[in-house]
Amino acid sequence: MKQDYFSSNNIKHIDYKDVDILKKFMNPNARILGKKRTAMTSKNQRKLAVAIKRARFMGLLPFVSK
Amino acid sequence: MSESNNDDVRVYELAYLFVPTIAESDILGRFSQLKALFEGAGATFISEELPKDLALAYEMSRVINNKKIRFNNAYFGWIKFALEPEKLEAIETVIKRDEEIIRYMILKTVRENTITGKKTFSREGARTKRTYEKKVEVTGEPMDKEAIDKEIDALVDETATA
Repeated sequence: MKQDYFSSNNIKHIDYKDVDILKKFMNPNARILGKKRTAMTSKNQRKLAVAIKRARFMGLLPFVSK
Repeated sequence: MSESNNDDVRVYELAYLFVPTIAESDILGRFSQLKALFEGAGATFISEELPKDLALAYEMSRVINNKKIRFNNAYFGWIKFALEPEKLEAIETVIKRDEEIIRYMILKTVRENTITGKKTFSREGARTKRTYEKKVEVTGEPMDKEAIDKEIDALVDETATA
């Protein structure tokens, strides 16, 4: 991933229910990938982190895995 | 609600997890009960997803009748609605006390659709495996056993001499 996924796909709001998209930005231990790995803008990286944390709270994504 | 007082309302989303002990046939009734609560407060619905059985990513617990009960499954659903901010607190207290709701989350959101993926969530194990069938095309006429034996012998001889 060399470009910001959300900017290039014109996604303005990162939804916590889009689990398949959010999973792309997590490592096998279910940790959120860093900004260097996701190549995201700071603004989108923050939005992504919030969306993943919301999905975790609702049990859609795990806090830890493996 | 008329267009003129649109400034007073705010768009929210409620995500909830119903206990899995509710029968599948009763879940729609339970959902309409929840919706009635919002209608009573004067909310307008924007979009919603019906509660669906979901395998939770981790074990959750909820105290029901002074007993801590653990859950690995739940019915997950959400409602997007517009409501005046002052009226939200009353609704939240009712949801908080509801013992059939394991967890809930109220968010400020936007009126537009924010989901981009096709599936919002999928039950684990529900993924279907793709199967590939090998197509073997048979060319030429089928040979009889003796002919095959002879051909093999000829090949063996060739390799032995080489």
